[in-house]
Amino acid sequence: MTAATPAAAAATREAMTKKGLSARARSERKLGWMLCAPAVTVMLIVTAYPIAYAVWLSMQRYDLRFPDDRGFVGFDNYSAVLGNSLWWRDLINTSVIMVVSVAIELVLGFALAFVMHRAIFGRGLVRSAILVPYGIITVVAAFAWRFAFSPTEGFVNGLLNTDQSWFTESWSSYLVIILAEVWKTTPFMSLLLLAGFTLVPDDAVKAARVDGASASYRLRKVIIPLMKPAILVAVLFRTMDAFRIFDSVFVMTRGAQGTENVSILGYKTLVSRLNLGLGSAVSVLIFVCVLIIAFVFVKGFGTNLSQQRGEAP
Amino acid sequence: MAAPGSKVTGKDRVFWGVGIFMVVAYALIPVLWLVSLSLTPADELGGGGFWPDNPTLENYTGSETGVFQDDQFPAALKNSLGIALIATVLAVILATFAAYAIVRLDFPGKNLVMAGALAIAMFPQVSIIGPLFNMWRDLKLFDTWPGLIIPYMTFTLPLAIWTLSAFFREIPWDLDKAARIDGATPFQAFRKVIAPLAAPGMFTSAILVFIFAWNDFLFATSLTSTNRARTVPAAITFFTGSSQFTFPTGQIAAASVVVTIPIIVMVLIFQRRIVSGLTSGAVKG
Amino acid sequence: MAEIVLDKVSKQYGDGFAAVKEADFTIGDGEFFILVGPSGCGKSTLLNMIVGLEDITSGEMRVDGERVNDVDPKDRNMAMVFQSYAIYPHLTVRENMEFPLKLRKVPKDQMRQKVEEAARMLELTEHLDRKPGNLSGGQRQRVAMGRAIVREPAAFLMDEPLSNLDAKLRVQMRTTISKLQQRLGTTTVYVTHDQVEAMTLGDRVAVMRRGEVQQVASPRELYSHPANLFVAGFIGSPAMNLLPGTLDGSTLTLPMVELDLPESVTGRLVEGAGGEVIVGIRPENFEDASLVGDKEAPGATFTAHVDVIEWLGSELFAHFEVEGSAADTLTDLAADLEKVAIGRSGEDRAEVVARLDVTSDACEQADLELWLDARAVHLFDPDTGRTLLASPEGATTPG
Repeated sequence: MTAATPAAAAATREAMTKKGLSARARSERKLGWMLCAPAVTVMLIVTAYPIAYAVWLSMQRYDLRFPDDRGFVGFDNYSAVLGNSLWWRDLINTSVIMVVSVAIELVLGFALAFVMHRAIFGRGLVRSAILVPYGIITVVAAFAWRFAFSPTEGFVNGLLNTDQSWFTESWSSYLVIILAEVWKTTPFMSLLLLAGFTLVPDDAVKAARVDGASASYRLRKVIIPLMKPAILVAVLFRTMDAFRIFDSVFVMTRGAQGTENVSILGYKTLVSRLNLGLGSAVSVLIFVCVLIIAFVFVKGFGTNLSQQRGEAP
Repeated sequence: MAAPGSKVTGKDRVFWGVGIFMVVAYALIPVLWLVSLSLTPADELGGGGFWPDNPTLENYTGSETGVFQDDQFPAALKNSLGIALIATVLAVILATFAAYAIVRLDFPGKNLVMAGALAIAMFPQVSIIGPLFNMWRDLKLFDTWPGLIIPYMTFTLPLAIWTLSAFFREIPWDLDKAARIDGATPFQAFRKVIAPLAAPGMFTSAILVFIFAWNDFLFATSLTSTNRARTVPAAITFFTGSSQFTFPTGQIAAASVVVTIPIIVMVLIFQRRIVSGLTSGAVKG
Repeated sequence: MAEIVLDKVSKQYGDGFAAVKEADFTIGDGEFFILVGPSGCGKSTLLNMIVGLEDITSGEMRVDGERVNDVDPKDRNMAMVFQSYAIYPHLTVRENMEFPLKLRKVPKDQMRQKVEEAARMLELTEHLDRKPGNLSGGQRQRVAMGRAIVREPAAFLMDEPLSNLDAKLRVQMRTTISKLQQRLGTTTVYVTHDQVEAMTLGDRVAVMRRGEVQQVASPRELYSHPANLFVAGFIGSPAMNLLPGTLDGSTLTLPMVELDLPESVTGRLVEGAGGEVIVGIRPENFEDASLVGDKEAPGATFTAHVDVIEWLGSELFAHFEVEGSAADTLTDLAADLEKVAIGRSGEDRAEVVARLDVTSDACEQADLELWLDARAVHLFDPDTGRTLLASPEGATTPG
């Protein structure tokens, strides 16, 4: 069946614009807009206006504790934030957590994906087990980890025979936070990698085996290169998520012991200190950082992604 | 199946058995830990072992300490359930319409919608907490069910639309055409032919949306202040202990277990759907 | 039953691409009409325009005298059978066939009766309550047809319905479709890229190429009097041989032989025909010189060096080469003719296929005396590709 493909329909539409839309094309347009409208509206209410509003607020001096002392200050809030070492420290914290967790998740995710893909029995069990961390409420998981590592109530100290007070020191707090994050989100990563596995044609691996390649060689030279697009997608999404980490840190340390990160900073400024102006500036900066990450990824590896994705509709 | 082209040996079985055990252990140890905590009586906390010596249900049903006796927790449960269900139903409906339009129809702005949805999925939610807080206060949506339902829908619509598009794309275009030639209006074609075939996709999206809504903490804490709308994740962090000096570990653990059981059950029953929903989009783009 | 008139119907896309250029012909009531042509020739687009799934850019389409350009598919009272069958996977065979009737709110017992009648005609009765997923390709195809039949529409439109079937099944289904159409008498428009299907099923055939209708005629007419080089090369298997030639009066000079054209041919030459021409000779117009019965028939004999012999039991094909090739003139056609009628062979040599009687003792890599029937040659203008011979019945359709 040729014809009536989206591409042809698009071309029809363009032609018609010159002479005036045909009734069919017009009604198709209208229907399309109408069907999308509700979803788009909902998405915009919560994002378009708040973003615009946030940007506007970020350029004001607006502290809810002194509501009368409002005023437009241009980029002052931004220079205040960027000039504040707190911001930079938090940015570094965030980056550290981000890089370390994603790295661990990549390796662990691979292993899990491998098990899900090739297990010779119990696949349903494995899949269910792996999805539990995905489904669990993040704060619930964070509590579990917090209690486990608590010197008084937890079992870890007993297990490792140590007296470590995990949440009073910076490095140990980091460790637990990263462990909790990794535990919770690796499943998602492993699912994306699992999808990537299906991209590797069995024949290619068999051929490599017949050619005499060892398991690790096969992995490095055949499987991983063929999975690259899926790996990139997985890493991109997880990186952006990791940058925005909030729940676990909030529950475990509330940002103390030098584990404060940018999201916590934003929250504190906005909700705890009620400084809408500064807090909005922090928020906007966080958004900009995420955009930069996405940009770097897409530019750096973008050609691969679109190649592999093939035809978009 | 083992590596392609090889036979399954006894050694393989042992290898996989161990592997599977390790995976399951990895996934479930924190959960078991919570269960254990929830069964630990208050005076045993601080013991340092994994399992309590005298397991008890006092954290669940005890008159002073049980979460079900508390006024916060049952209210929070109700809120979570109601809000998550409503958000799920609405999000799936809206996403179905949008995904159908995107895959089947042609109209200007189509790509913008997809790109925009993607952008929203990547958006740092913390960035809009402030303005949303203000907006909701002005619109009297603060501390209400709709006040949470709407942002939940916003952030789950991208994933739902993405998943549903992948499913719709699998349905042959010819079926639409055949239905229209057979005499169906576009809406009839959708209702009688496409929707039944897309049902699995809608179901999968529903599960993914529900998990998000059930899970959310940020909006729940920032946009609520009382039991009226506070959901479980937020409520847990506000638990007070039986006295000013004890931290309500047991109660928090009990609440956590109660709130995790439905998830585990859901995952057990629907694991196949969830995996296919999350991976189909990735593979087919 | 309906008469469908296409009045200079065209379809152009936004980027300027013209899928259909001024299609102008009439499909008679009850006729089995075929649209045939290579991929991309616009036949499917034209079919979609007839059913209403595609808009008509210019021109008018009339069904039984009424203009239908803007009528929605569901109101055109036409049924379509898709190449992919497009049967609803979630409904049983019965429900599939009831679908169009339900939409028209046909009363239950009438519906039941029509469905069972159609099922009987298509031998689907025992499958009525099964789901399509459990059926074979051929059965699914019949369900698609059943769904079209129950509507008793004004016209059946079929888009390459047999393409997805294996060869044997295709032959069977061809007969089924033909008998069905004869029995029901419904106007049928059938699209295919397979010229064998076109020739065996159609009452009349429209040959299309790159959006243009080359010729509309009965299969017999298309075969014996092709309007241009494309139709000549497209219809017939093995394809017609196309060679360069020079016409001087009634003498036709071919690369391998000189031919005296009889009156039956020269009498049909159009005005000004002469000079360089393209000569079309069908394989069956050759014969082993030693086996020619009628020694008086106008023709010429020549010697050819046989390269390859294909023996098929009931016939024999001999492949040989001649000096001189029309390949340069015919490069344009090469893209569209699936069977290479322009026997490319290498610089300035052309491969020719001859059909011989199976009793011939032609051998590979040996010389053979061949006879060429002068009454059967086709002549074409090398520049326009149009035939230089009027058909005996009168004017040929423009091409």
